Amino acid sequence: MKLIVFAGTPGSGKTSLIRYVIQELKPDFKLFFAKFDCLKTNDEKNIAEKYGIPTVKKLAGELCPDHYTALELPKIIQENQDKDIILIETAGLCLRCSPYVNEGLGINVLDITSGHPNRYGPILTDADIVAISKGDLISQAEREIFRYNILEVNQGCNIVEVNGLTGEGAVDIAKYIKNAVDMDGKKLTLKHSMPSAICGYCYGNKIIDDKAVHARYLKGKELKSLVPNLNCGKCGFKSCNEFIRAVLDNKIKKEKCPFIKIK
Amino acid sequence: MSKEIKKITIFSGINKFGEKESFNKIEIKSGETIAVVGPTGAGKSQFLYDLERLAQADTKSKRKILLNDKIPDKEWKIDPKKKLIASLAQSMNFLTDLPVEDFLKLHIQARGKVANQNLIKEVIDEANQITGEPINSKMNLLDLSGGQSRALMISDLANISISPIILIDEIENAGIKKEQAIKILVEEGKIVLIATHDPSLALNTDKRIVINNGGVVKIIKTTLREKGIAYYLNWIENSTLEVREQIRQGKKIKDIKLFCEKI
Amino acid sequence: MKEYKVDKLKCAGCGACIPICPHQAIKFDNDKKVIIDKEKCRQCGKCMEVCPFNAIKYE
Repeated sequence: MKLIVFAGTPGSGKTSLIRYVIQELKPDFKLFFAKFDCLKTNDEKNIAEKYGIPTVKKLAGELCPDHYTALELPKIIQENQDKDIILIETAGLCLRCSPYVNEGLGINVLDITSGHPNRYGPILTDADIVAISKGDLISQAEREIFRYNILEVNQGCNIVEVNGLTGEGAVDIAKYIKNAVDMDGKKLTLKHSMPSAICGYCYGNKIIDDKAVHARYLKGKELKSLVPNLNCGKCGFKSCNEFIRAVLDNKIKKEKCPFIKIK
Repeated sequence: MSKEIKKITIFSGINKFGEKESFNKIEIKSGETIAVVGPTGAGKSQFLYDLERLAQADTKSKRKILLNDKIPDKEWKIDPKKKLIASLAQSMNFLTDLPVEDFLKLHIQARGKVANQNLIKEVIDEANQITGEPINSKMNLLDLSGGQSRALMISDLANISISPIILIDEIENAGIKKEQAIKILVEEGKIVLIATHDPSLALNTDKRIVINNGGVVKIIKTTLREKGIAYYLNWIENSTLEVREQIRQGKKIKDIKLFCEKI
Repeated sequence: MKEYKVDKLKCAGCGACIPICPHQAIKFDNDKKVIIDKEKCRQCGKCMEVCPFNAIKYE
């Protein structure tokens, strides 16, 4: 079974591409498609109807949709052991993040009109394949420059020019998917850590211009750079982030972490 | 893979009804300019797409493309520096917010060459040969008119992209001298394919491939008579362009240099 | 004797025949139409073939 994760900002053409890819793969493979989004979508229903494959919609609601994707992946994999290929479409809201895993393929659908590739974080730099969309709107020269810029930040990726309207490139993507490595039962991990919740806004604070909030943020940022991010549990907390919050709340001294060197 | 393309071979596929195309194989040799003609929706773009993708019976037409009698190497598809095929389409625009000379510098870099002022000047000078309104190096790409943009794209293709195969998908929007544009693109040994409705473009080629219902129906070698007609049509077009420029400059039109009065 | 001649009533003065002639036998006349130089003409017939207006005849 192969696990394929499609990531890309909203409007980049992920869903359109996926439809054509499903069309290519369907005759020979048992497919499952999971659509992740924040609040609303009907894409999974449309795809199920048009291509006759099982699909599911996963709405993250108030949770960060990429964290939510990581949380839901095990269940999706477990429930679809009989399938050949599982296609995941992420919500694609965070340039910094992306739920690519150490199995299968991570495909970044990148809208060529959306700016210089060096703006993007792991969603681009950790992708195995970069599918450039909307290239037909700009000059050959700009497309070449764009490709060059992508290779600068991600040397090992394969680049495919795709078109969500005509389906161009879907055949190449399908080929890469067919050749992807099957899951071999090793522990599923993210390729890159996701941004951590250490500032007040992450858990509900709405006030912006507050000196206390800012001071807390700065202290939290400093602590973040000192802790090893191993979640080893030696401080008594399950994760480094929990430890940091406890320090900021004055519930524990920072020296309790064996890795923090006392200056 | 060496950049010298002496021959493209296209093995037939199927049309939109699933019927075999009317030819077995088409050979295009270096130095030839070929038009691809047919009604809207006939499949001209698909034909060019098959060439751009170096299709191996894996596109919807099932055509197979060989270069120099061999199946092409996949490597060229990723790295812009090795690109064998350059393309130009009606839908293309410039989206980069830079002055012309800075943009050209970027493109030269992306093509793995060292940017030098002479090359940049050559590109701009050649572009100015085919547009009525001269471009200068300090103009912003986004401020260029449709005709100027098209002219610059063509000159850039001819001088910087320097691919042995050039695919053009309809460039009939007014504002450039089409015959000269083709001349600029066709250096010794290049292969140029133009999908077009335009008579003066279509008849200015060595032969034309007629497409209908997704398949090639016939190949017509341009007769000497057709070349004469093309000559005449080009002459009228260039005269029209001159009037166009005079109107743009706010002048009154007193006479026209076109001469075809009967005695 | 037959020769290639330009029918000035039909000639549009486009000049398509001029570059086609392998012997440079055609040029523009004073009236902006073309004329064939009998001395240089080798009767290959390319000018008649290329002319979009059938303005060149062999008679």
